[in-house]
Amino acid sequence: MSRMIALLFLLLAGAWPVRAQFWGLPNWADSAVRDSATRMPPEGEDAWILLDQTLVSYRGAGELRKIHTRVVRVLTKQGRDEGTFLSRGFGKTVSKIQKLKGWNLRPDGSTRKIDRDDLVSIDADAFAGRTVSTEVLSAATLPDVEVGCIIAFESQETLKLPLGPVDLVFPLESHPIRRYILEVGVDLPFRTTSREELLSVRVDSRNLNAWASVIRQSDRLVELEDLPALPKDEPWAAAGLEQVPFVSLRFQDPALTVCPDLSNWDGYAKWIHQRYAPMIEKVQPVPMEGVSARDALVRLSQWMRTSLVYRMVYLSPERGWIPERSTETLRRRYGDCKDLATCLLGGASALRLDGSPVLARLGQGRIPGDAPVNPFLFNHVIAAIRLDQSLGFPAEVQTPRGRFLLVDPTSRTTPLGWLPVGHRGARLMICTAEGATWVEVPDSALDRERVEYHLEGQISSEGVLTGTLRILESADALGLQSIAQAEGAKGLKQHSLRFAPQALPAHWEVVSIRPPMQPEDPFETILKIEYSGARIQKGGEWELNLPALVRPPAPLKRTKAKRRFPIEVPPGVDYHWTASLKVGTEASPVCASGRLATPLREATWKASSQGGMLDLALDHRQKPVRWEIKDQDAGLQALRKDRSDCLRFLEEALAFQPGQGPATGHK
Amino acid sequence: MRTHLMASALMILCLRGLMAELPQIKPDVWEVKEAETKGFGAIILERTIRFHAASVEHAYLIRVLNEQGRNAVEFPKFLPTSTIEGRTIARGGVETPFKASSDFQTKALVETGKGSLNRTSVIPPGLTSDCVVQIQWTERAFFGLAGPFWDYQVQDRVFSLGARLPTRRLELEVYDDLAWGYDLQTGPRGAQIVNGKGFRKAIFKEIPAYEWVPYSEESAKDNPRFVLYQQPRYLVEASQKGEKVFWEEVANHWYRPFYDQKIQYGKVWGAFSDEIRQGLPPSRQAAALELHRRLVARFLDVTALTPEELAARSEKQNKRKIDPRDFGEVLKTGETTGAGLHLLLWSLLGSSGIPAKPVFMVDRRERKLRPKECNIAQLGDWVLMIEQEGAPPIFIEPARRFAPPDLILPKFQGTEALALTPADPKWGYQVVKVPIQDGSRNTQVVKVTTIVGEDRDQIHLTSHSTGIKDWEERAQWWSMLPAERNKNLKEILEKRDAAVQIETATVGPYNRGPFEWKCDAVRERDAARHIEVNPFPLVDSPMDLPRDLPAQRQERIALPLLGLQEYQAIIVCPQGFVWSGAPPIQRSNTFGEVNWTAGPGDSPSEIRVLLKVRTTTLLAEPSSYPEFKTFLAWVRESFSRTITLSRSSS
Repeated sequence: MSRMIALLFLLLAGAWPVRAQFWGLPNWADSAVRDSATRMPPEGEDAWILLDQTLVSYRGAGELRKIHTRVVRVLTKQGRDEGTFLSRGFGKTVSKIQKLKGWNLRPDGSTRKIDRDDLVSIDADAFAGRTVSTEVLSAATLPDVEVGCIIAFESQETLKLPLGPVDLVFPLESHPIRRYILEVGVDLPFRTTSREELLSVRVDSRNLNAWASVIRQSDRLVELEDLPALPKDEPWAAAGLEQVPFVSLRFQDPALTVCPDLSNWDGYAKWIHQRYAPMIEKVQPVPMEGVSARDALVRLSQWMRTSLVYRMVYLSPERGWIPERSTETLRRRYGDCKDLATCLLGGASALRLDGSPVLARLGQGRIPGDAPVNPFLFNHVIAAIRLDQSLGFPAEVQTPRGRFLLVDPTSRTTPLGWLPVGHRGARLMICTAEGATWVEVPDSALDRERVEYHLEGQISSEGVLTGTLRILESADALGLQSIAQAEGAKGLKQHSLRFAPQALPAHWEVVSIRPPMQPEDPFETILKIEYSGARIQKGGEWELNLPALVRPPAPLKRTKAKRRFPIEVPPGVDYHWTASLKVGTEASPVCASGRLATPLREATWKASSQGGMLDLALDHRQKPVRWEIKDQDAGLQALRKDRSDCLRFLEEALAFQPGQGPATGHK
Repeated sequence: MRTHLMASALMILCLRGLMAELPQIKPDVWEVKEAETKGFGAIILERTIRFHAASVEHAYLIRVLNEQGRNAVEFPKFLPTSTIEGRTIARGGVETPFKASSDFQTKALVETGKGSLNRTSVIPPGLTSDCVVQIQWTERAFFGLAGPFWDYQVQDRVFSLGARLPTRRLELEVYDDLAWGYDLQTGPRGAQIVNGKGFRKAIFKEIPAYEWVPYSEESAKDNPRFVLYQQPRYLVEASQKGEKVFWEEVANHWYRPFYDQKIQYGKVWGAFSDEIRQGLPPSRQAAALELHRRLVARFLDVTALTPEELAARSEKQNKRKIDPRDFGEVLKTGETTGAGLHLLLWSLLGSSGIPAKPVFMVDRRERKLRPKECNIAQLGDWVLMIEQEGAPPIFIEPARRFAPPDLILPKFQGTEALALTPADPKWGYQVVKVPIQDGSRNTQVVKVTTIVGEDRDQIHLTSHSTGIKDWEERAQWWSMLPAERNKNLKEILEKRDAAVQIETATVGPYNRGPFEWKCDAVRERDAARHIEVNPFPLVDSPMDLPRDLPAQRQERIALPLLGLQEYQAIIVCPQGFVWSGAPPIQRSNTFGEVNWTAGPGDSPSEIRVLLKVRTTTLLAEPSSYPEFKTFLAWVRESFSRTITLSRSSS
């Protein structure tokens, strides 16, 4: 009897792990499925992430280990993408997937499984244009994924970043998440120089309240419930760091002497300064003697803008954070933002001017004043040249640590002394030997975006317009100057076709290109154009269909879902448009002058007609405006009214009553 | 010590002598004019490619003349090699040699547990807007020696010899010890061919840069190409005896066994064959089509099931292995594959005394049939040709679902194809012309009713397609379940017009033709002086209208298909608005006809608009380009016409 009991026990004990193999998902995935069983899947979604859990452990010597478990229910065919495990890494020397298991529990009860042997790594640069890096995409796909499947993945990855044990996590994804858990811990192996008692572990979160229905947090845990999908199709969304939820993790290990001190911004800034300093080699690519420091810097900047191109080439992982030497950038004649900034500082040092790298964030919202110390908040580097006295440039800033001239050498169209408009409203961190100096970019430092169009020509009785369109562009407002620089007349023609009122103009050629000779000069191009349908009959009136006119804003879709992001409209380009057209017949503008003023724009219109000539002028400026989430209904209403008013304004401006002459041309 | 140092120095000198040095650059490279770059800003002055048995050598000499050209200099990735040399020389003589540590990167393109495929990239340093770039490297050949699967491998690689920049001179050398076969297509410009000891060389001059041109296709460009191909040993041996021997070998030993061998007819085949062939029309072609119709009604092609059909079957049914040659089992289960339908039709045609010829077509968008290129990888889709006196041949694709089997896909029309001619004892082959079909069976009819309001319009739209249009539209949604098709249609339509809210969108019914989809939508309207109505909302233009067309053209013009697109609109006007009419558009030229008419409808508040665009020329020479541009302009003009309603003065 006892033998039988023992045998039965052995059978059961042996069978228990087999349960996972034959009966579907592992226990942790089972629990996640049962936890959500009583809830309805979110409406209109392609997949529902039932659990996304990551344990980040510090293993000493700068190494992090991430154990990630994830359970997803596939709701539609588009949601089948969740059947692919995908991870982006920096190459084997930095990141490695040690373990991977995947399960696909199908609606018919059968299970498909994969493991690490099914992993395929692909060169991430294949999807990144001309970037050359060490980045790798690792993927493994579960077979036979269909609607109704439950997908589970368990992975273990180790990371040893040049910046040390630090990470910045954004919980939101393209599908909603039922339960999100981020946990940090310390798991030092026996042989390590790191000491747990000396470690400091920081977990800082921001903006969680606005997104999760339930938040549980401690110093080493963040647990969230019912996160929505990352909103898409919200026009004018202010989706920066002040809105999106994120979690900053860092482990401060005194044993790591080569990694930055992230206990405060000063520590990080000093580390950056120390890493850049040996790379800032004195260089003099153009003669700089016998001229003032101001003129020498202008010469250096002009030379760099014409001779060096922006290109990201990272042949080792640390190149994502550490620049090339100035002399090497000159040899290559290309570099990324760090390299170009370092090269500029190398040129400044030849003039006995000190400089520092400046960390910035472009295109993804400004860095908030209460941001946690984390290197991944930055995605751009510019230069700050220390000045003993002002050189009279708008992009100079006075700080407690001195006066600096801010220069972004990646912009080939921005003259020295100004910053490109991408830095509008930004907070930048100047990294000096003494520590961090934060500055706000003043609007006066920005290159002023302006565009002028001058149309001259004639409209025949058949409605064919022939003439020239002269475009004067400042601050690369339309991208024409940089396109002309990179792609010549051919590229400029293709890009300027967006100003044509319709496809397939009979003639649209670039006849001249004139780059700016002085910093204050605009870029100029002249196009020779011809197209039909320039005059359209509408009832008893004619409407002009002319190139390069301001386009009314796109219609706003009505949705039931409330917005998640505030509405923020940035200031637009200063726009000035004139036309002088021979129409060959008397024509009276319906609206000789007009004015448009909405919360989002201001515009004026003038039209006159004499002796068969029409003279028209339109000035337009988009104004910055913001509505917080609580005021979104008012904001959306204002956006809709703005579109209506703009349409009406343009319709009236372009309408005129013909005099004698046959009615031809229809739309 | 001194002896040791001298020996080391001598060894280094010898090694340097063994390494291939970059050739000297002639001073006349600095005389090249910008006009020679044809607007690209740079030109490849010399390019060399040498194909050896186990390696390929590459060399480039590029002259850059402006910023645009500087940005255009790029080299393809290649298999890792240790023999790369390069330099950039700026005007004035400043030389920047390439450095292995900073100007090259070798990285895995793909890596799995079983191995990796590595590639090397070159990032040329020192480029200026007035410089010369010189580089040479030798890479391991991807086409090594014959491997263990030699007897089964069929594949080819097509190297277009045009580049992103114009090329002044290209030298291509092929060594006789190459394991793969090759075909050199010199194009209309031709090349100087030199036969040397153990190699063959072709010298090309003035190869234009590769540029994509709307309504063109690769094969029509006649760019010089080099095709490397691999096939079983016995075919390689046959190819060495010439084109005729090769294709006869292909006919008799590669394809014939599929038709002749290992077919298990089973016990009831005879009775089935007699029964299904009863009462066939007397004419061969009509009989063949009727036989196909009966076969498709009788047997299910399990390789062409829609997702809903698959979902309605059990997993066991869906995973069952089917041998298309086991006719006995096919008759028993009523299920076969696409290849099985082909074989069934072939056999029954044979029993009916109707000779059918297997025909292998070539996709005109990529290549032309070249019988002298003894490469079976050039052949594409596979159909049966039925000839009949007094009528052009028909080509039946037995496995095509939801579209008439004798419709030829546009990509195969106007080409030459390879037909096998069954005979005893030996099959032969011939080159046949695949005709351009007139497009009368390809239609799309869109009917739209728009009830116009001052602040919103109600739109009801249906689309019916037949022929190739049906087949193309159906293919778009093939892999989706019905609910997903409807959702996908809704998303597509809403993307076309941001002002529209789609209320319902329905694709299908899917399992029968003509193909139909429909929607109901609401479109918001802003207040305006006039009400402007687009008669044909939510549908694409009948022809693709690129933003611009080049002024001149060297390439043959190719349309995607021939057929009729018809748009019928009824606009119901709100009270108090009138329409002042619009003159019709009636135009035609060799490319087709465009007709737009509008007039009152059945009731006083209705306006009817009718647009018909018929295309009648599939392929045309570049000399027809002005006519083609005119035709596209008519399409644009008519499709973009709107109806303007003004407030009535009364």
